[in-house]
Amino acid sequence: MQITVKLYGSLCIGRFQSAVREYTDGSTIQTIVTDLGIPSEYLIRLKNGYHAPLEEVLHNNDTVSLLPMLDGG
Amino acid sequence: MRILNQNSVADPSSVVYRRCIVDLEAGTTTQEDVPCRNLEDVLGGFGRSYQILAERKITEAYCPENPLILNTGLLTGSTVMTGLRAYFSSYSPLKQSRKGLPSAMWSAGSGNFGNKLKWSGLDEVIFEKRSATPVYAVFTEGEHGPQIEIKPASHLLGLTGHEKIMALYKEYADAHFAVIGPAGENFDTVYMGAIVLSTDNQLKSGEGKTRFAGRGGMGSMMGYKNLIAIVAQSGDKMGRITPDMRDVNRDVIKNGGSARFQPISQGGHGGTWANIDVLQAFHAVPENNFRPKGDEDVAGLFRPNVEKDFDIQSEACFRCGIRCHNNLYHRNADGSRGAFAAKFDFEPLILFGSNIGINDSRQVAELIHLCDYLGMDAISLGTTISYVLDYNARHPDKPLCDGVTFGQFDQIRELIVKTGRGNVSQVGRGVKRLSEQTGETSYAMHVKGLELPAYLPDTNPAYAFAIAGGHMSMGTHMYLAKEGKTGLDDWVEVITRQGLLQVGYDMIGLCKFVGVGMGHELISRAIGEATGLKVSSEEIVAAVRRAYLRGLALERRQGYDDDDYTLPDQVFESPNPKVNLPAIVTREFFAQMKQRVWAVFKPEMEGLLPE
Repeated sequence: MQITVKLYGSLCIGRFQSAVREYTDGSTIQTIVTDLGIPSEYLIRLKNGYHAPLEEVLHNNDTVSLLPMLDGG
Repeated sequence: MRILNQNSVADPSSVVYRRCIVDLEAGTTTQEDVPCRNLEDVLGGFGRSYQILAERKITEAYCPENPLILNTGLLTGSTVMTGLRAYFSSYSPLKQSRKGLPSAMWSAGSGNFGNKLKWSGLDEVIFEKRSATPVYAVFTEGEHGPQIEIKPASHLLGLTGHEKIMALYKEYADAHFAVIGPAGENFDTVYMGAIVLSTDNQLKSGEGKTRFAGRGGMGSMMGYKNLIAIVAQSGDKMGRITPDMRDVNRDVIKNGGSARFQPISQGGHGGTWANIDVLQAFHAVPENNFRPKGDEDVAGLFRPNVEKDFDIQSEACFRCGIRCHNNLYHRNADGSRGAFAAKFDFEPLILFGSNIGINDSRQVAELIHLCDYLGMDAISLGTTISYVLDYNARHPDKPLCDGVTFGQFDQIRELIVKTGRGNVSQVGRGVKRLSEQTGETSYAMHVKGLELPAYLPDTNPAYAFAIAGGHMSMGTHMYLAKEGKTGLDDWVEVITRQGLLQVGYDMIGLCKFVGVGMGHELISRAIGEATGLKVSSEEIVAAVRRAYLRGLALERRQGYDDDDYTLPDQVFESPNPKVNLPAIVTREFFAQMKQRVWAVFKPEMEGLLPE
């Protein structure tokens, strides 16, 4: 299935900002995080614009956004 | 601080701290050893100073009876990484209840000043009354204990904060400094004066790389007291780092919480600056007075774009391994690094950038630099200016401040200079007072009289329960963006359990960028290793909670009633459809949230203040 993956901030470095990627059926957000070599701690995860857990199962044409989780001021 | 018994919980009086009282009117000083009353006293910072403030009935900030308290935390000056903090507390000239009474307030700053004060032998200084003439105070490590001198300071007047520090450094080589800028000197028209703290980097390079205790007008309080500068002089007494302490510090650096703030080259996200990327994904970066436009204008402030104009260096505080801040340097014609330009953190970057309609990093850097040099709180100044610009956009026929509006760099620059020099009281006294003068309060971005930081109130109803600044004293400002939680139960839980514990860092002397909660075993281990005190995580959390609730109780005593605990009306009346986060903050949600939070807090607040 095809998943649009969007990366933000430092997560883009050495990767990409937005790409359509192929994953097997039953893949989850964790599958993508692992595939891209991104530490899963301190990560904001969105599926189709909504916050979602790492174990969220994906479907064809979903969009997954991954953002660094920061804080402070 | 002397620790006579390691069980500070059962017997807090066995921990004794050294206090100096400076009577600025008489020019006299006294010192005393004070036994701690409870664990809040032991941990220090505002946990201790608020108990002193609670003993006084103050009805206006600028009065001789209002003390300015300078103190440190338990771990300030220790070998625990980030243990650098100094705290300033007083009844604030800026933060005020609707009944007109000043609120207790504290502000924290890093640099090496707190260490030097502690190493001089003092844990706390209470500045009483006010001097008839400008003075500065010198605290020196003496053979038989701390030595104190009060000296004339007329020669420092008019200098910027950085210039004052460098002038004093010529006289006191082995010292660090807390000074006010021109804004603090003009305390009568500027209530948002910051205290400027020196850094080793600044003293070595001669560049204006200062730190600030900015919030709540503590610099204006110094100005009122005619106290222009404080010098803390001592040798370096950083203790030997034991193997166990090395482990603690390794965990401070390696834990995921702090690692986020490291430079990108070290696997971090590049400091708080990176928040802009995250929040822009939701169109939640403040623009034009906290009203995101849903466009990509802020991209000019993204790091890759700023790198085109500036050389960027990630740097750290004194002996800290978390290189959280980004210093910008001009680039010479030959491509080499030129002069220091400004420090880019999320708050000033947004509040002197997109929130006033400026997305050119060179212009933003200049405005940040000006605010820093003049010694004002970047949050209060930026947010008050954005109100002026918004007002003028709505009322071109009867504008404020010569009609300056969004994006007008030259005019905004002039307004900042005039404000810092004491010539624009409309701005210098903050957005609450200004909006009450204009009669248009709905888009004045303050809560309880203190200007909001660069996180939208539309996304953080918990601002109402911050006791000393919107994001520094209630750790919920990114909760919606990070967690996506919209339920009432979630928000009541995060306010009453986790969010309030943010203030614990402003007790113990560490920086929030350690990145773990107060209940984390790392905090307990750090205290144990640095001091020998055995304090469990549960006991630390309980003490921090009491200190927070005491602050809330003190607000109520200063006239804050239920109507003060609110957000700017615009948030309720005109939700911004451009923000791609759930619009949770309705009046109904907010009222229910408050009711449930008070139901948790009020019983616990009983008995926390003296009769």
